[in-house]
Amino acid sequence: MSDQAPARDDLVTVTINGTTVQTEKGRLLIDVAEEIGNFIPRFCYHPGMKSVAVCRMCLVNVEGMPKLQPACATPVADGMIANTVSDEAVEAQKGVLELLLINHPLDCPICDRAGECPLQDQTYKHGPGSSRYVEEKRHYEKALDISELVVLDRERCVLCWRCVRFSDEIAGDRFIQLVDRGDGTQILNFTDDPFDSYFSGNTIQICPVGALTSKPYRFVSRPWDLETAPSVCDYCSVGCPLTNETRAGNLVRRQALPNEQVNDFWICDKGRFGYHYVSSEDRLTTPLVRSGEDFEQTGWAQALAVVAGKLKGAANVGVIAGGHLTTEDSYAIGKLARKVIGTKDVDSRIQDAGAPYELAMSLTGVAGSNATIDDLKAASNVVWVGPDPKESLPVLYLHLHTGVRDRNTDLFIVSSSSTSLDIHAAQVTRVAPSAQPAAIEALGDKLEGPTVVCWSPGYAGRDESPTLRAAVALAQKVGGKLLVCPPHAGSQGALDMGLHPALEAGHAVVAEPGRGTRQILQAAADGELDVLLIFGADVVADFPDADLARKALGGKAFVVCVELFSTETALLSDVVFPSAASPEREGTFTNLERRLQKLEPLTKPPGTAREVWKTCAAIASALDEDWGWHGFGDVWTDIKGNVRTHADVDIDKLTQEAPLPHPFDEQGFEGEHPSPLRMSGPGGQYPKGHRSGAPFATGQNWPLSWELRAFEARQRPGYVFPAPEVTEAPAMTSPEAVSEGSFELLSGRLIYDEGAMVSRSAALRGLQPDPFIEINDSDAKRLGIADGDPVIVSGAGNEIAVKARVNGVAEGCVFVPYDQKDCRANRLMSGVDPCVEIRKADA
Amino acid sequence: MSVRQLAVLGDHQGDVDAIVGKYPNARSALIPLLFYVQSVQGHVTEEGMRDVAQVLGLTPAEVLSVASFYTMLKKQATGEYLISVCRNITCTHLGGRKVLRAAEERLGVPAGQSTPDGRFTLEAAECLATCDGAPSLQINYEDFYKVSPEEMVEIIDKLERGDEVRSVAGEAIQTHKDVSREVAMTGVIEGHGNQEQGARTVSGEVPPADMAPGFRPPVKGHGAKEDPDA
Repeated sequence: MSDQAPARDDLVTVTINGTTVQTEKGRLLIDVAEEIGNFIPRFCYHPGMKSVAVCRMCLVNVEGMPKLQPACATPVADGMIANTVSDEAVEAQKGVLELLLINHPLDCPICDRAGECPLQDQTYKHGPGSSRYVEEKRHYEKALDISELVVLDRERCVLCWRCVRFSDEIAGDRFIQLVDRGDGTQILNFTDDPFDSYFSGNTIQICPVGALTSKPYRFVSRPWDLETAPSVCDYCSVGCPLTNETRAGNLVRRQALPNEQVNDFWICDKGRFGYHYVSSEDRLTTPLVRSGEDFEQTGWAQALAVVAGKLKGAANVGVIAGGHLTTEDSYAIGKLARKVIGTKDVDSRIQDAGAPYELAMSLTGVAGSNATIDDLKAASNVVWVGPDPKESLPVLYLHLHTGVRDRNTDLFIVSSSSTSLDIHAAQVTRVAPSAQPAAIEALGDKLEGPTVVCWSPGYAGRDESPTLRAAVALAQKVGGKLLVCPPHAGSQGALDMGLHPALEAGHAVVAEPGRGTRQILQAAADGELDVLLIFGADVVADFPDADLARKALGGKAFVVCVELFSTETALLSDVVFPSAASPEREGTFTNLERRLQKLEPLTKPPGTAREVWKTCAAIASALDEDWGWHGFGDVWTDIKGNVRTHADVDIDKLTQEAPLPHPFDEQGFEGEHPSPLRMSGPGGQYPKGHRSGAPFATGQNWPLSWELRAFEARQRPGYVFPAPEVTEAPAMTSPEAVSEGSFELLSGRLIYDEGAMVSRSAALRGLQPDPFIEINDSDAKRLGIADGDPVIVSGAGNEIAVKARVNGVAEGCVFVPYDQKDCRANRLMSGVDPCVEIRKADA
Repeated sequence: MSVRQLAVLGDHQGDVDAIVGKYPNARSALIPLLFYVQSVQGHVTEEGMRDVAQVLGLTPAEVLSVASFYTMLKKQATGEYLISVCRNITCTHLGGRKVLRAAEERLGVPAGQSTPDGRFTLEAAECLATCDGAPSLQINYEDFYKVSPEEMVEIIDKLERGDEVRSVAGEAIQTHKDVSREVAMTGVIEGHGNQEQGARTVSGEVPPADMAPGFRPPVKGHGAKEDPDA
């Protein structure tokens, strides 16, 4: 035996239905059998969760065992001989299905799940053709609203516990449970307490029947009428792969796509249900050019001519980009700014203005992470520095939660406000931001074994350089890795493509840095800027100094805004170009571990809206610079030639493939079935030639129980681009603190807020909490404030009336969620490290 | 997040601490605390379940999941005296249904309901495991064997008048709330109900009396003379 191929003692040899395979010890029979083409029917088993073996559907013969064994709870052993299609097993499966169907209403014609229902599919393939049960079925009140998003029908439930297990094992918020256990067992929430989990949509997707259905999607479409394209979530920087699904051209559903390297099988409700913004009435459809107080709708040529005219004579131009742009958009903006217009004043940090990503370069070589999500899962210690990840990076929260729960991760939290992970942490350090660096340093002696230090630039408007420096130093000291978590789906891509005053595309350090967002806006407000270009950024709503943003837009600078919606910023601009939303376009997002993942287009943008890169190329062209970009491929040719980190990306390999076809084929339907199942609609019958791995064609129908197929594609195409050699961080000067006050203002995002996209997503409108702030217990006592009291928060010359919550914020600090209705924290901010005063509201 | 005031358990912090302190894992106190709620309110109320959830760091749904399983945890208002008449086969053969009917007529309510004054609750029970005493019944879980319909009426008359009624084991019948309290507090040693005392997992220390091998909690009606170990 050579060194290259040592004998592995972790392998076992098993024989399943006559096929002998070698596989790793400890794997489950159900998985191994599926891998070699023997799909064992199942309801309760889900590869993302622990086995419970309650549905009894996967019973199989194992030689030497006196009774049938549940394949989902049977680990393979050396020499095991299993038969999944023996007469005995088939008879048992048929029996289980007959029992399950006794109380199932068989209301498939009015059920959302019909057509992609594991119960339906498996009944056709494995069940008896008819029932012997003639008595009355069990009845419950149908269509019970258990939250704003989820509807429960207990009659359809087959008690697989998947939703209950998900809530417990994965999400950690056990709002639904099995109650009245016995002959009346049912899934239920507690009285009127809603199932208000941030992850409730996953239970709909994994429900193997139509018991849990989605309120926004209820009765909207039949699955075989949907057209589907794989995409990537456009909200936070975790970058969960998901589907966009349309019926007759309208986006009607999103579902999680599995990727064990990114999101396992899950997405949050914001990603799943926050798609209505795409068809919002606020979408811009044509370019707008200011004429007096109003705008005039124009064609592109006319608007471009106006912009080009202004840019040609401009000496000082500032460029600000938002966090939801694709990598290609960001590249085009950087190229337009630096190469065509010739300005260094480029930045993509809006809410996180001043977040010192560049400091990470001394460890990682990029203004970003050197850890991946896999590293995070494998680490024995995780240090979390930042605000609550459940609000800002929900699926990352799931990984941290399951890490503590199932992988023995020790979690150390350094945060100034309370987080959902506090109860799971080995240690929580709750200190004011100024004390965070010392707290991080103090962890250095406690961490043994693989460590990942996570840093999230949480609190808007604060200079977090000392904190990130300490986090980098900690990672260095313990030999760990760093996970930098920028806020939005496009944030990392923007940094990679040089939308940063000190970094060019590919993280090349600029010799003399330009101005950052705050200085650009200040210059505009001071009348020093001729033209201000804003791409996908609502600076009035999002920049942590609303008054400064307003002044900048109202100054003498000519403002050009490229936007999805008629935002406040757009309405204060001089020319507005409409842009395309993520389901309408081809593109890539780069997530927080610097993984490139591809979006496939499915719908058409409204009116003449187009991708931002096209707008940039058109502006360049109007300035007599032809980039020769005729399609998406041309952009990537340009990127590969000019961005050192992306030289090796093969964009065609990033094309997302559909999960492999359905495991059933028509050969499965024999004998006593009343009639072979035919599905109507395009894509018609069960596909033949399954497991061919044929590439996914956009718009192709997925007519069948795709949940089952999804399990087969656990690794989706993605590309973590290599970091260049480690360089010293560029010198960025931090602006000095300017304001003084009694409370340090901490402001981070909540999952549901007034953000441009989420506030225009109808399904999520009702989920925002009433505006609140959080203060520390002892501060509250000092001010005579009780929990729930109305208070007045004042800062930057503005006042906001809001209710106070008394909880575990660090002393001397107040947490004001960023973008709440009628409570815009950025109105209270002025300068870096803003402070506010709080007083009890007069009764 | 603000801490909700305990609606039911708030006035009983000492007992609650004593119960929770018994267990190395707080969740283990779930059923005793539900009985405690029952001892305060007569049955397991919604507010009571919220309290228990809050004390133990569970969600109310988890508490409901457990509470809804056990028939001795009453989800409906239950009277001072819970009369459980066996309706299984042995008792039925020997006249159990007649006993049940007599009780229904005497109390004026069908099985499964409580009298309007809230003193009696009547239920038809599944097998009470005393077939040798059929037809048998329990009042607040104390056994009565070979009961005739007339005796049933007589027992109810006595209870209503406040006369003493004794079970076959010679135990005086307590109220349903008292019985619930006894179940909740079983094994709690007076004056030791704090967290330090509850360190059950530390090896090498002498375990408290109720953790000693062979220990049986004292349950009235199953007296020492019946205990084969005694």
